[in-house]
Parts: sequence; structure tokens; C-alpha cells
Amino acid sequence: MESTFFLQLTLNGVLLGGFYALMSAGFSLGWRATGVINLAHGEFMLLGAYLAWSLFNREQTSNSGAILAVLFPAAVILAGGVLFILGFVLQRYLFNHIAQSDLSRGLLLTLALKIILVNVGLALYGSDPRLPALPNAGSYWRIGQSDITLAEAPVYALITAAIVLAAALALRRIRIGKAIRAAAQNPIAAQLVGISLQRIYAIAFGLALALTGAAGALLATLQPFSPDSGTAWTLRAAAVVMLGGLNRLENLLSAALIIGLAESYSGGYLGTGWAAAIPFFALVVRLILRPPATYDLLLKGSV
Amino acid sequence: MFIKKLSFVFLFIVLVGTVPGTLAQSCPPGPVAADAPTIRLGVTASLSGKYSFEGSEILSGYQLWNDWVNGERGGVDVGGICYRVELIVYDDQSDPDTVSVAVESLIIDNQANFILGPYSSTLVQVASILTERENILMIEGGGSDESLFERGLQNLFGLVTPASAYTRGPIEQAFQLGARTAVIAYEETAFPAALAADAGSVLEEFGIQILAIERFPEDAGDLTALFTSFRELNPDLFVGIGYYRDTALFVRTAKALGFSPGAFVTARGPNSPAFLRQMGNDAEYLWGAAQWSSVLPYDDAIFGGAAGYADRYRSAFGSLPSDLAAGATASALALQLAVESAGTLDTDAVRTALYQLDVSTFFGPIRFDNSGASENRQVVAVQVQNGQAAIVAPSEVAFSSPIWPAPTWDER
Repeated sequence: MESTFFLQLTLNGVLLGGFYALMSAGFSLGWRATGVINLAHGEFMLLGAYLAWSLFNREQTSNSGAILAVLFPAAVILAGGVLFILGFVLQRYLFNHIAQSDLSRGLLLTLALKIILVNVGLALYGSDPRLPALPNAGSYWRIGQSDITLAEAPVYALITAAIVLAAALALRRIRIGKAIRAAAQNPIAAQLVGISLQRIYAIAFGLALALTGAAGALLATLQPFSPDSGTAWTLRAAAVVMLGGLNRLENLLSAALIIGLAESYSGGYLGTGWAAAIPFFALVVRLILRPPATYDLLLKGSV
Repeated sequence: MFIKKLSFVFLFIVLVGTVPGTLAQSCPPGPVAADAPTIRLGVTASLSGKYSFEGSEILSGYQLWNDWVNGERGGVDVGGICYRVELIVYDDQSDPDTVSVAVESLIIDNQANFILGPYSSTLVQVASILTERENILMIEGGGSDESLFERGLQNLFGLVTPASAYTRGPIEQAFQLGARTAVIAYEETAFPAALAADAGSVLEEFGIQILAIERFPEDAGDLTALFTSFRELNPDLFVGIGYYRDTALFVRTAKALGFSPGAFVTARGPNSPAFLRQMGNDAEYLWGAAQWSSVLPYDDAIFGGAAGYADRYRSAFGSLPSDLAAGATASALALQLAVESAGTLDTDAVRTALYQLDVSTFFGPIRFDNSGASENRQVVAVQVQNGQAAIVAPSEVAFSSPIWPAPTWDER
């Protein structure tokens, strides 16, 4: 019995961690590539969630897993696509002119965006929370004869997150990915070899928001959301990114997994109140143990 | 001789005492005259923020009464003069600070004669501080915490049943059906916490063993761990207390983990038709409590009883009323009847008339005790069956028998 409980918590933690990884990947990419710490991250994610929700909601009557498997990718592509364009335009015509290479301006600008998005969201959708979409999608698989269950929606979410993150990794190998990294590592040298910083930043931020939008589409199937619920996600993404560091996606993945598992175990053994504090507790520990990298990031803006 | 005199006095008291209870009026039915003087009613409603769902239902309830009184009843008869009613509505954003600014403006700037209250005990409490200070009456159907009426306020009248009655009905039913163990989960804010404490004492009263009490933060998005522990305990009864959003999360998480107790009791959700539509089949077998339902045998001469009120509401707003909307309409109606029997807009006279009020309405009997709280109200226990909140207790009004234990998620 005890081991069933532990296994179920582990499974829940892994599923949660996968979602956290995707959720914070966009935040990490945007920060790393353009030096802008996006305080409106959670709101962009909610935008993705509402886009996905509009798609799901039409299919509300259907409850088959097959439709779910089609709708999930469709919603991810829709939310990711729209947010890519939005991110590209924002970076190209706004951030490039105002926020580049100045940490505090970037913070102020994204804070303003956050306030605008929250209020537009309230005006468009009202503040009633949207319930996790696809009312009948909460089905689960039972593992063998045991009590351990695997909910369908988070599994689809985890698979989608894995595919999207793999695509993001693959991007490193092609030209545009190399250019993004070059621009982030040494802007002056990148310009010297003929990379247009403005264009590269725009593409990079577009990709960052596309990841964020995809995460939002998954959120729409997992948890209730409303236009004013974005801040919690921004904070959580920041905690994951600071725990994992900006340099390697692998570190981000393990940080997300650690937080997912820690939340699940502490929720199961100590109480749900504790679970909410875990990411920040982990962050404090990390800052005490290994502060310099993070300080550098904050001071320089981009690395 | 003395006896005779006394009985005459008694008869006189009875007659006078029932005057507020009659619905006699002198205003000619139909639309109120264009040049009629105005009664200004201040409304603070949560149209945005966390209570916006509940707040808009309450505002619809007030509007329905307002349309009826101005459009059909010929206005409010105050000492022989027919008054038009004007609702002045502020959005309080579900925020206590905004409520207090809104109520202040309604009283000072808009010169409101009376206040119709907001949703939630928290906001009613804030508003009541101002109505007390400015000596303006507030009547409300949105706050039911007992503590509101334990502060010796003179100007607050509430129509809904005290909160402790919320979980009693379902728990009592579940006990009779054989529930012996229970778990409680509640959102860690004032009202759910109070409700959870009440639920705990009701469970103890019936000798139901409480296996666990878990609380979770207000903005918790993931309750998987909590329900994993509950599943391990395998209780007969789950009592989950929070708002609309929390109930959705309870059901969703329970389903994902295959947690199916004999009875799944929640504080809000089952009695809201809009909520049931959004949740679809997953809401089946949920238990809850309702302050009112359109199928209760409440009769009146105004709206055609509970059923007539529900029809009127549906044609105005497109969906069936929840108990909150009905409570709001009934609050405004009670105020109107008190004003008419007082024959003046004076706060002290109307307060006296409210204390004397004893009427049967579509919302059931309306009577206030001397703290301003509602007396003699009945809370019914409901269970969602075939997408409807079916009344399963008490037996006098029940039209369905409870399904116990609920089928497991595998069997559905």
C-alpha cells in the first residue's frame, strides 16, 4: 500500500515536471537569447490557453481519446503559431527599439505588457475561471490490477512537451539556431560575421513565445485558468529557470523534474500547502549554494 | 370584561402585525409614471474578480425585481405616493477595499436610500461597517456567515441561511445511508475555513470518523497529491469546500486518480445550472446544498411561486436562476414590502417594519430575528442526477432518492 502511494506520487511528479519544463523553456529561451526577462510570461501562456480553449470548446460533446489525440496537437500548433507571430512582431518593432541591452527597460516594458494583457483578457473573457477544457477528457488508465492510475490529459501533455522540446533542441543544429546562440553569446562578433541582430532577436523571441503558447495550450487541459492567474506561472517559470540555469536545456529539464517531484512528494507527505512553497524553497537553496552565475545574469542582462 | 378587552387588544396586535405580510398596494399596475419620484438603491456587485460568476447572478436577481417593480407593479407605494426605483450599480471587483469605496460613494455621492448587498460574507462585512456608520439599511442574500450577525449591527438584514447549515443536509443523508468515515478538503480562506470547521462538528455529531482534514492555498492549481492521499484512506464521504473553481478542480483531480467515495459533497457548484453545463457528465452524483430551488413548493401572488419565478428569470436571462439570484430578488422584495408598510423612506421606520415582516414569497418564508439574520429557512440537500440538481432531502420536499454509493469512475 505504502509503495503504491509512493509510486503514484512519483508518477504525478514526473508528469508535473514535464509540464513545468515546457512551461519554463520559453521563458528561458527569451531571457537567454534577447536578454529580456519577460514578466508577462504567464499572461502569454494564458493567451495560448484561451486560444486552445476556443478550439476545444467546440468539440465539447466528444469524449473519445482519439479526438483528444488530434485536438491536442492542433491546439498546440494554433497557440504556438499565433504566439510566434506575436513574439516576432513585438521583438522586431518594440523590444528591439526600447528594451535591448537595458535590463530595467525590458522589465518595465514587459510589466506594462502584462498589465495590458490581463485587462484585455478580463474585458474579452471575463474573470470567470475557465475549467480545464474537454470535460470528459479526465479519463485515466489503470496500471495492471494495481491502484496506480495514469491520467490521460497529463500523459498527452508530457508527450507533446517532449516533442516540442526535442524540436527546440534540434534547432540548435541548423543555421538559425546557431545564429541565435551566437547572437546571445557575443553580439558584436555575431554582427561582424553578418548576422542581423534585430532579425535574430525577433525570431528567437518568436520561438520563445511559441513554446510559451504551446505550454498554455496544455495548461487549458490541466488546470482552471482565468486572465488574472498569470503571475503564479511567471514566478514558477522563474524559479525553474534560476534553479536550472540558462545555459543548458538538459539542466532546465532536470530542474523542472526536481520541482515536479518535490511538489508531489511534499504534497503527499506534508500537505498541499507545502507544495506551493517548494519551487521557491529550492530556489533559495540554489542561490545560497551557487550564487555567482545568477548574479551575473541579472547584472549583465544578457550573457 | 378585562378578558374581552385583552382579546380585543390581542386582535388589534394580530391585525397590525400582519399588515406588512399582505401584499396590498395602491399603485395602479403597469409601468410607473414617468414623473414619479425616485427611490435610489445602491448596489455593489462583483462583476469582475474572483466572485464575478456569483456577483453577476446576484445582479441579475436585483435587475429582475427592478424591471418588475417599475414595469409591471406601478412602482413602490410609499405613504400613498408611487415611487420609481433606480438601481445604481458599482462593480466592486470582488475586492474589499473597492467595496468600501463603492458603498461610501453610493451613500455620499449618489445619496442612495438603501443598499442592496454584494456577494460573499467578506464583502458584506466590509459594506456593513459603512452602512452602520452612515445609518443606511442594507439587505442582502449573498453573505451567510453567522459572524456577520453576531456583531450587534442594526442596519444589516440577511436573507440566506447561516452557513453552518450548508453541509448538514448532505452529511446527515450520507450518514443514514451508511457513511462512517470522511475526509475534508478546504480552501485556506476565511469563509471556506469556517464552513469546514462547521462540517467537522456536524461529522462528529453523527459519529462519522474524520480520517483527514487537508487545506490548500487559494490559487492552488494542482491537487493531485492531496487526492492521492485521500484515495489511500478510502473514505465513505468526501467533503470539499471552496468556490466554483475549486469544485471543478476537485472533480477533475478525483477523476484522474480514480478516487470515488460513496458521497462527494461540495459547497458550491451543484446548485448552479451554468456550472453543471460546463462540467458535463463529470458532475454526476455530486452532492451539495441549496438555499432555494425552483421546484420547492413555495407559493406567492407575485411571481407565481418558485416555479413562476424560475420561468420569468429564464425568459429574461436565458438560464435558470441559481439560489443566489433568487435570494437577491427576494432581498429587494423584502425591502420593498418593508418600505411600503412603513410608508416612509426613513431608516428607523423601515428597520422596524423589517423586524415585523413575516411573509410567504417565492423564496419561502421571510422573517428576521432580532440580529437581522433570517429565521425559519430551510436548506435542501441536492445531488446531481442526469445533469440536474435533484432534491434528495429533507423528505417533505425531496423528489428523488439519493444514489449511494456513487458508482466508481471505472463503472461510469
